[in-house]
Amino acid sequence: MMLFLMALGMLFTTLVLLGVAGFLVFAERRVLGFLQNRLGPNRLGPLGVGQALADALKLMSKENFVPDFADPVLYRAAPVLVAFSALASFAVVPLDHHFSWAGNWNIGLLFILAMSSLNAYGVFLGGWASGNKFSLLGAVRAVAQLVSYELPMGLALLGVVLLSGSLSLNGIVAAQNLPYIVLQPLGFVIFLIAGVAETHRLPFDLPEAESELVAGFNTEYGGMRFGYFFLGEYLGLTLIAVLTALLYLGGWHGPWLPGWIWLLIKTAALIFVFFWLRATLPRPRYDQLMALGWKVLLPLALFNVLATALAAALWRLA
Amino acid sequence: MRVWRNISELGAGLWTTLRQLGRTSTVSYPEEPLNLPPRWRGRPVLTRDPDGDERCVACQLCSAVCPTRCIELQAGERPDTRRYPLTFRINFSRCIFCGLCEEACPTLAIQLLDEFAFSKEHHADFIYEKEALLIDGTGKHPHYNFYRHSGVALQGKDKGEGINEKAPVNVRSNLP
Amino acid sequence: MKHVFFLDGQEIPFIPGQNVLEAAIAAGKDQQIPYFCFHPALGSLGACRQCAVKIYAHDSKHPPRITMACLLPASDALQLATLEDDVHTEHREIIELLMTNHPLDCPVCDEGGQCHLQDMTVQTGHSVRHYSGPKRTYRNQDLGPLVYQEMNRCITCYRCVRFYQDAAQGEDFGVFGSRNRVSFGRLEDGPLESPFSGNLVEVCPTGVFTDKVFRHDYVRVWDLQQGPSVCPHCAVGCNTTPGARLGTLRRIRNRIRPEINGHFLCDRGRYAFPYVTANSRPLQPRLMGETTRQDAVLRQLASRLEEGRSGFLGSPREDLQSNLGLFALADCLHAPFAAVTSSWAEALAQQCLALPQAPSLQEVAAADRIVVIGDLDSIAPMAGFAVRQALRQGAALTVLASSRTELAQKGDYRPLRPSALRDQVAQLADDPCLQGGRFPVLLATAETLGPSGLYALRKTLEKLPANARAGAFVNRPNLFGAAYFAADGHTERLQQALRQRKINHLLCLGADPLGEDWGAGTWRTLAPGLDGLTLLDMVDSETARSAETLIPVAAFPERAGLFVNYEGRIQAFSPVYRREAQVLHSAVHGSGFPEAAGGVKHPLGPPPPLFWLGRLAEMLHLHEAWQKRLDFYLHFLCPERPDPEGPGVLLPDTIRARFEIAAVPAARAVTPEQWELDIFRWYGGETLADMADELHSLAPARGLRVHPNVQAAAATLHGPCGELRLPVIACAEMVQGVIAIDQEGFAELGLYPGDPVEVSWEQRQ
Ligand code: SF4
Ligand code: SF4
Ligand code: SF4
Ligand code: SF4
Ligand code: FES
Repeated sequence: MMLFLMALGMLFTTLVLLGVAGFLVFAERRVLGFLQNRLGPNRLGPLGVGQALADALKLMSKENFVPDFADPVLYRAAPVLVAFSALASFAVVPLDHHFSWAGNWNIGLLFILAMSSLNAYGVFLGGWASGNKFSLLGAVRAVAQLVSYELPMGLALLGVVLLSGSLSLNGIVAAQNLPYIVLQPLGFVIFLIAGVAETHRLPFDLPEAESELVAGFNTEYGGMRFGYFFLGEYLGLTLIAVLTALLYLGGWHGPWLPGWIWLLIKTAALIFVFFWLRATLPRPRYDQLMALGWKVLLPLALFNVLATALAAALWRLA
Repeated sequence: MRVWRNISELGAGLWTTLRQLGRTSTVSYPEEPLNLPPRWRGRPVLTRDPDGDERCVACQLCSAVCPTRCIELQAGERPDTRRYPLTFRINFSRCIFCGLCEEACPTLAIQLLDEFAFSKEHHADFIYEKEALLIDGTGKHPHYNFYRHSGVALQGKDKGEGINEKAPVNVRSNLP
Repeated sequence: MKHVFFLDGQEIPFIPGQNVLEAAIAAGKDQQIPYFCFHPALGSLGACRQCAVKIYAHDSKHPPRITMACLLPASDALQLATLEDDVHTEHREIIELLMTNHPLDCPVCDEGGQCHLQDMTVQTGHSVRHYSGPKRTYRNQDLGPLVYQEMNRCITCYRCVRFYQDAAQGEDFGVFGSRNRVSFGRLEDGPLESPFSGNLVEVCPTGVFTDKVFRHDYVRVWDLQQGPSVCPHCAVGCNTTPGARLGTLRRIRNRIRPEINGHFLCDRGRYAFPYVTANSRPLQPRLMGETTRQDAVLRQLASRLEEGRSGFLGSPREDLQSNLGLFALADCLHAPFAAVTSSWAEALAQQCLALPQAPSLQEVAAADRIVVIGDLDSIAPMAGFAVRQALRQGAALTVLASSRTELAQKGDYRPLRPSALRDQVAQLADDPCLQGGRFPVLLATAETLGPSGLYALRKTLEKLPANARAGAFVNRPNLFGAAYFAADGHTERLQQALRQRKINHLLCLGADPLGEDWGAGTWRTLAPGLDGLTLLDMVDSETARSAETLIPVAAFPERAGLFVNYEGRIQAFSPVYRREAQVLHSAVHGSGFPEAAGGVKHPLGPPPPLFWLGRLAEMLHLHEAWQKRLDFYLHFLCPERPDPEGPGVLLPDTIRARFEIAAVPAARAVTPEQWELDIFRWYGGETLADMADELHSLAPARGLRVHPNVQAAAATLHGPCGELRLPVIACAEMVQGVIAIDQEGFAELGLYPGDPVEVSWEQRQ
């Protein structure tokens, strides 16, 4: 009985997350529209929300096509892997201190990092299995980019872990009497930038870079397989936003309103920031991206860890 | 220094985009009415002069200049010797709304007014005959009347009665 | 030696005697020198001051100066410039002065698009009028149904008077008024009298004179389909440019052919074309008065021909190939064939051909002794025009005729009865009027002279110096072509076969044997023996109305063909347009297709006769034989096909020689007491031209023309085939004892020009 209820709950969570991702696709288009003096999709349903459903239906109703020159097994597996890794990460994300599947898990943060590495496999395999030069280039870029930005991201997280002394997300939120953005401003910025790069969103969407690589790693994908990649991207975006809110913005802490609403507000604000960045910034060159990762963020992140460690030690001593 | 400048420029950029929130240039036609500029090039029509008579004198300049050759007309003569288009048809499935006909027309008869949304099921329905083209008004030019300026006589306008004309000369006179 | 002068440093070749403008235009430099009053056929005047060039003196003492190119004789090594500022300024300012009073008319001016003034204004760059005062205006004159006047547009280049008074020698048009009030027109309103008045339209460089017939069904020139054609209204064969649009013919313009018509056309050539759009023109096959389909009528006709009791009748009104096609078909079927309708006309055609090579009109204009026999202007007006040009050069003209025609008033007129005409012609060799000439030319109207008169003319010519030339004219475009397959006595044989009931069906092409063709009286008496008559024609004639089967054919501008003119010049014409399914017909003509039926049933209008004949041959399983014969005859007559754009090819003299032995029927003897018949024509009269409403409205009244000393209101003429009652028209120009009637009258009576006739006069009450 318990198991059945859990399975039902998981299904529900999954569906909600998928819904959120679908909605975000629509929300991004509208927000971008507003930021660019346009209206965005506004024809279907109230304010145009029906567009999300319409897009989903369209993707689902398309033919499941596998190109001749693709590796059929990996080609099919890759999108699933991407969507799965993103979905699985949410297992450790709490909405409230008692409202999560595994928020208390003492290696929650590590799990998330592991899952995001798995995501890299999905992208890479997808690009490679497509058997197309653009896809392959996109995949190679994706891997290099993910590896490069995982380091500063992880190091930035170390600052938080050092301060809170916990790897579970519940623990970290609970430890934030003061949101860590105040104590870890540098870490916050590094995490945010690395997060954008990890989800390869604009301006760091070099694996897809339509102007040079057609559509990068997902050039050969269509229909619902492409939809999985899409889901993965928007779930990743949500994940980074909700993590940032949890790790740096005090999670569900906040006056008057219930905690989960606070978390939603903070997450939404962060997602808006991502959209906003997309609407504003142009895509850098690939070497610039790499230089930023290795020559700026990594040293800064290292410095951040050292400084935090030092400060923490001094504070302890004091 | 450089870092600061870069960061401030980043901020300026973000601020610029953020400022655009809530402004929009999109007009949700057809829910919102359009405010078309007066020189808008919509569907060509044939207008009338201030006296209510057809302006077109069937000079065929518009059909000559039309790059898509979509104007076709046949001149006719009214009992008062005034030239007019017996038939005048424009094939709007070929018209590209370039406005050259309007520019060429010496009588300001053909004018591109503001109608632009007219869709049809069949190509043949885009062939507009004179009845459909001729409007009951002067269009953009309320005062011009070609025949007041030209030198030909008409019923109701004798030689010398046009704008800037002397009375007809007496050719029998040999006075210096 | 090649003569050149220099224009802006470029060599311009010239022929001595040319002026600078002429040579520059010939060299294609007219973009550099604008001009108005100069006209290639009318010469220079120096009136417009537009054609300025700058002339550099050979020495260094004289500064360069501006002068008029049209008045500057071309001479070797002349240094001229136009690409200089002061020349440009002169061009621009002169045109601005000419345009001072010019009305704002281009959109409603029929000249627009072909306007010399427009071209020159654009070319010189004058675009803004500085003068803003009131403009001079004129009242227009009504110059009849052919030419429209809008006097405001005049730039006083005097081309019109120079043409009308000098070249055409017309007397009812001139220049009036003084200073800047000069006006060009008639003394009073009324139709222009000259048979060449239509040329004003082309001569005038502005829109003062425009084509009134075209005006009713106007279309800008850039929308006209045009092509090379040949005038089908007389034996001269002037070159024309028909213009058509949307499947209807709109106008005829001149096509320059120096050997024949030069820059001009007569009014018949220009204004007779509405026969093509006439309401009465048959456009669909008719079987027993009912319109039917092409194949139905062909099937019926084929079965008729299979019976083997058909005769064939060609026509000098139809072109060479169509006649040959009919001849070939008759040949395949071993059926009797005739190209003309009477033995008299047959002899006439043969005598015309037997004459040695006739002079071209260009040569006529260069003659210095000219004898004109009969009323030339009314048969072949352009031949009369060539005579006028010779007169301008000082030629001596003698006119032998039974009435004092316009041409007769310009030369030495000898009033003669038609019978006396023949004797006079026989004695011309020793006549003082031809003595001492460098280049004597005799021009005869063939019908007035008759076969025996033409024979006399040939004999006279043999006695004259070798360079003397003679030409005979008819108002049919192809009598000379039709005559070639006119074997001796073929008409008689055809009529005989009919009389003996060997045949009971007649297939006619473009002929009118029951109407106004020569010998129609005889045909009418034979008609009861016919069990069916089939006619291929493009006009609604008497025969067409009584024919059992009527097959419409394409009009001449709608098809290709060959005409042989009076010189034996074979000229080709090409199809200019097709009658199309969608015919917009103007309110004025109300012509073209009936809206509901025609356009749909007959999308391409009637096909040419050759198509019908070919289909018939196919249905009779004779196509191969027919085609072979047709090709053979055609090759025999013109081994070298003429180019429609070229001057045509002349028949070789060897072919003419065959006709010199043809028999000449003796003319009927006339005593001085008897009344004698002569033919009366006017310049616009011809079978096709009679269908043109505008031109025909100028036709003189029908009647019997006699000298006014006969006091009668009407008269009845008695001929072998019938009687004819006509009102009497007193005509002071007529010779006494001569009665002039039209061809229809002759056809009814069964008589020919020069025949005696019995008259009963009805006195005035
Ligand atoms: S707008 Fe242009 S294309 Fe249309 S009718 Fe006028 S000239 Fe022709
Ligand atoms: S240009 Fe003007 S006046 Fe001329 S035909 Fe066209 S609409 Fe008529
Ligand atoms: S004469 Fe020539 S320039 Fe003058 S109104 Fe006519 S078309 Fe225009
Ligand atoms: S009427 Fe024509 S041809 Fe005659 S002077 Fe005037 S412009 Fe010249
Ligand atoms: S053309 Fe020379 S003055 Fe007119």
